[in-house]
Amino acid sequence: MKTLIIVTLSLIALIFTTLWSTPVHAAGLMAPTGSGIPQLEIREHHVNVVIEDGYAITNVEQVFANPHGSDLEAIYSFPIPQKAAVSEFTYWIDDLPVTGEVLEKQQAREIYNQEKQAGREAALTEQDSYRNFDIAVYPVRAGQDVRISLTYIQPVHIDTSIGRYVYPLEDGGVDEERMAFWTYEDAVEEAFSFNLSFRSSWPVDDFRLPQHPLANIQKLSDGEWSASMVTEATTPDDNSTTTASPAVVHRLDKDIVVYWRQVQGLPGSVEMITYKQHPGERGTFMLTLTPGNDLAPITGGRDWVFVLDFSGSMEGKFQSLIEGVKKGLAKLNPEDRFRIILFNKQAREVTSGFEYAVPENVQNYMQVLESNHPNSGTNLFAGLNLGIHLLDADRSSALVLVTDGVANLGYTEKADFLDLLEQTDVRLFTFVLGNNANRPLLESMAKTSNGFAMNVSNSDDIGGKLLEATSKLTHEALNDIDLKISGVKVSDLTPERFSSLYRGQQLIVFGHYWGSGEASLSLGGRVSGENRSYTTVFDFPEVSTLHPEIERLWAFAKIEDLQNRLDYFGEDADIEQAITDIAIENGLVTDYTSMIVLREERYQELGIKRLNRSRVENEQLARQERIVKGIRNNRVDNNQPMYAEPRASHGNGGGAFDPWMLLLLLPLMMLHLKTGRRFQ
Amino acid sequence: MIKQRLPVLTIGLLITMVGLHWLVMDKTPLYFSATEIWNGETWRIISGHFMHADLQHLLWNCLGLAVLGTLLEHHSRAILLTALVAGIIFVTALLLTPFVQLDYYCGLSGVLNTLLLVALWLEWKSTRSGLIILIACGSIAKVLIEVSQGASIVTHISWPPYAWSHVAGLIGGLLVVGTMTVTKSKVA
Repeated sequence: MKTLIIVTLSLIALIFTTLWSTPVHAAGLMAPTGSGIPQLEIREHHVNVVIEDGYAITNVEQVFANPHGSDLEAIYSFPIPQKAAVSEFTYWIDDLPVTGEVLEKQQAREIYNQEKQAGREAALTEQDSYRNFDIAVYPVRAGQDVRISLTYIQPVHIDTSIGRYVYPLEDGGVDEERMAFWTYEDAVEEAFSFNLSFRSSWPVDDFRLPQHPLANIQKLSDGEWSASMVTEATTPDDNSTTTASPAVVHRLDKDIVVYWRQVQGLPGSVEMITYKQHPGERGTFMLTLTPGNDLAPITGGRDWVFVLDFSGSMEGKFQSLIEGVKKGLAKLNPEDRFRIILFNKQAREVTSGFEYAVPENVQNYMQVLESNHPNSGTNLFAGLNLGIHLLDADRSSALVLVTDGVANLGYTEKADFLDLLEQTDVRLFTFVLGNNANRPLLESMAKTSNGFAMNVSNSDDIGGKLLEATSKLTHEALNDIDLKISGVKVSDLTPERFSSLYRGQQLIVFGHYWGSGEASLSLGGRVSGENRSYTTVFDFPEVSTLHPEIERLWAFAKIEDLQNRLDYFGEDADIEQAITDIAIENGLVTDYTSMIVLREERYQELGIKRLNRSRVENEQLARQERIVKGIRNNRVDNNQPMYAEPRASHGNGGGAFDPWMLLLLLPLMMLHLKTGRRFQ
Repeated sequence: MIKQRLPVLTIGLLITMVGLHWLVMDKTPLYFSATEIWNGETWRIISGHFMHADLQHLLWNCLGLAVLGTLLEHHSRAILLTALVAGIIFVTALLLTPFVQLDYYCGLSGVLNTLLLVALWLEWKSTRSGLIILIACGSIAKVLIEVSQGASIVTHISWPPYAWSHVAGLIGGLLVVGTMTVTKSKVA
């Protein structure tokens, strides 16, 4: 167990030292490099986030300005937030906000180009695979500015009683072609603001933005917090606010990471939110299971295989990575064994078979590592393949993959990686650096092997991530998970397949239901070979209108499942069409669909139904209603708690003397003084 | 006879605690961590007890040390030192057992309970006052309530309370008192 902790601590330490030394790219306005096209300006960038009821709604409003003499097109790009579904896109045309509609990607692009050629206002949001959301706006008239707004929603996971929200801005710098073609402008020139409102029925005792110490954090009640950052340029007439120089008030080059910590000792629980507009219709639900802390610590040593990326994108990070590995290996027990694999365009083992972690071996192999210099492409498959085939089947083993990049050499299809992992019984723990690594691939691999993937931002808190990973590796996991709901008709559960559940992790399940009334929920699985089961009963409501957004969240999760099937079985027109249909029905931007904004009359002329506008209006009304109703408790297993133990939390502890204790000490001191003992 | 003296050890410890809190930016390497101690970072055995989670944590423990340290140091600096060492040993022993699954621990309150018990014993010996019995009962009752509830009675520091360290501190105090009694009997 000790070894596990050491290795994890060291690994995370190396990841953070690596990230800190990395030059970063940013979200921003793009212009083709060397094209001579003048660069537009980002005048304002305002972010408003609401986190409540298990999901976050992020709204980004921006003003782009064109100080030049001719009309221009604005192209803004930013990293895709984790599991985020773009739900609203608004473009102010003639000073009126117009909401976007989702169309098939190709069709949306063609319409955008037509409108652009005709000189009419149009805006388009596209998804560039797993990397970026790209927003194109035309025209930004000479000497004028345009205002756009984008809203996305994403589930918020609590892990070991700690919640985390990331507003991603840093580009990972792993797409060399894109970097060579575009230049980025990430400076906000007039006003920047970030406002986050957090509401929860579970009490929270700490809330922080570790990399933004100037953020104004306010506790409004035990479950209600807010955080804000505002910078505005000073004008000659107004010197009341501000900070930065008049030219740049903020740079969009650093992720904003927010953490909150639930108080210790809260119960394991089942929470559910639903949306069902009318009786008799199909409803949608979101179940959040927060298990009790009943997974025992594990003991026994392991073999460790480190598979480390040393492709070109690791330039500038690799020396720090070596220092981290060195520090970690130096702390291993002499009886522990390790292997180190490096991969770029090909993979090779640095060690000569499993080596015992004695100081001579560690020193020797660190010198060998230092003689390597990152370069070339990323043959991730070769690295993993070598790592897997070097495992000793008779010993408990774990494979640790650290990469910031994208598989671009050798086998690159997800199906190949998943096949490889299914050939062997090994748990893969992937540490995904930055915002542009191939997250879908790395997460799928971890899921297939029943390991876990950990996303790490440059702005993450070291202590928090460290505690999160160690507590998982040092405890048993719930495997072979089976979730059943009976008593009420349910369908379309997603995710379709559950991986293992590690200490502190929540299980979030979406689905549809029909009817209403009492239902029974059972969660089964195996822990260290023994069966384990948890059950509870609760009611599904006949009507529920507070959370229309969960229809989009269900759709997003369903699309992820379908995409996984595509990755396994290859191209399938039916699945692709299913993804497109779900995305259009629920108004989501995906690899197959984009969101377009046109002049209001053009929607009608082009025969585009205003489906998303109705959905957005409904969601906005629900948001207002939620504010009026205040904080809700969504726990549904109150009558029959599903878990006997309280939920897992990080085991920090302290203790303090307090006024009571000092009250007891006072008579003691008086007695002492009375008996003649005086200070000098 | 009790010597009148400036409690320099107590003052030194207070300065150390305040200094560590204000001057050390990254406190994590100094917190008590069983894992890291087993891995060779043995300084945490000492430093963890003198680190504090926040200002309130520091304030109350400083006040406790100021009272108890001064009181004990008036009796004998050696007794204060012995009680401190015994407290650190007992609280550390508890925290290093596999039953305790804390990732990090900090604060002097566990050790202060050792000082408290020794101070009560010394005052009892010299006064035989019933008030000492009341104070002892009150202190033990408070610790028992904290253990049963898993929460501090009054203070709310940013780290969750770990009341078992207070129990370990009291046991350490009992051992010091027992040793002092036995030693004195043998000398007599």
